[in-house]
Amino acid sequence: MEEYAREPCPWRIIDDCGGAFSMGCIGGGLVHSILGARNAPAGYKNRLVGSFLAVKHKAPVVGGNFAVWGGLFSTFDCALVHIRKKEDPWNSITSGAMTGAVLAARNGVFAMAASATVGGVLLAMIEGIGILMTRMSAEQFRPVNPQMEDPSQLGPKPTSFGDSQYQ
Amino acid sequence: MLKLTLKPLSPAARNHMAQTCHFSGKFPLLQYNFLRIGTGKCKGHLPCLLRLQPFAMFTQYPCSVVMYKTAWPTKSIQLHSVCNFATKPKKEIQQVSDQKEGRVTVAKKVVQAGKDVTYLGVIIVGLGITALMFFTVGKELFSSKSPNVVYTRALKRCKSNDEVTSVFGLPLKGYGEMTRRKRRRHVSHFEYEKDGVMHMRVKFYIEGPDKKGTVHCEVRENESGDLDYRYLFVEVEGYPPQTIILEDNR
Repeated sequence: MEEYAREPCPWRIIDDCGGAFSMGCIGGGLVHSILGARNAPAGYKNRLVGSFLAVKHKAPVVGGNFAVWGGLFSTFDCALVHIRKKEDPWNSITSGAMTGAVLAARNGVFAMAASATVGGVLLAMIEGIGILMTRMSAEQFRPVNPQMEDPSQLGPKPTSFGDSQYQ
Repeated sequence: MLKLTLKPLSPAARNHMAQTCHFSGKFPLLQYNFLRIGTGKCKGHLPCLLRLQPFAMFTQYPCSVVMYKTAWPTKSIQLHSVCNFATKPKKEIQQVSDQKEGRVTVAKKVVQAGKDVTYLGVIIVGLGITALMFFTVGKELFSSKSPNVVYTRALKRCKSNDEVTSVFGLPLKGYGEMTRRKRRRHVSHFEYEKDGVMHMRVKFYIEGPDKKGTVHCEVRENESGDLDYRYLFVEVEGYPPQTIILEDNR
């Protein structure tokens, strides 16, 4: 229960920032190693060098972009948790939209709205995946014939005088 | 050999850069890509080789030759570059290749149809997965029978209850199970059916400035399809164990 003792929120921002950076670096490295090799002059060695250079130059940039997204997203998420005093899927969808809007802020109102929509929809889809995954894993551990007993904290049933099993 | 005839320049145009020329006769030199122009040596920046475009070898259409300032009518003509082949031969070549490529065999048709079907399948599967995701989110957020909505209602109920707020203190916040990535959005729930009636148990956590606790809640569907509380109680963490019962309709 010690995990519940610690509040995840302000620290989660840094956590997410780093996680997003490494994710972007790995993904960007994979993509740019292929793109760099394709873009390089012919020849085994040239392709290898081109791929390496592309990864060296571009993977950290992709990682940085991801980190900005993740950090901003997490910041908004935590702010919403603090304001609403409630954690639910709405938080992440709203903060996705807000992140999209803020990152497109220099391109005008319409670009902001479009980017916010994209962010919200994207996060809604991710939430959908999360809910589906939770449901699937719950389905896996579901007992075949659940014997649902009432929690003991409630005490005995108050209106069970006519109930045969308690007599 | 190829004969290159050049129109004699009028005296007025002698200093002019451009000059038209005509290839006359057949082109017997399929193997040559370059023509040597003039008899003089190739000197430095003045090219003296005329490069033939590939299709120029098959045709006898007029071309225009841009000449370097030359000492016409002497024999050493040094050409600057060659350009502007008439478009007609290009067209012909285009048509020929079109005819070749345009021939669609049955095998090609079958291959193309197979590709189309595969791409269509991929698109449909993708759309289906996207639709499923949106449907899940929509159901979770807007349907009146989702765990999230039950959680929202129960949390509101706890916040408005005086006994709960006096024990926990006032900015009361609620959250679900913590995932590996430190998210606490999903409340744990369990749905089951008893005597043909849908029941759902939901468990979430609340926290105030003074105390922490766990809320246990069970709802069941009534005749009109709405969800009624079967029970709703708050288990306060700490010693001695304390339970605040908000609803008990068992």
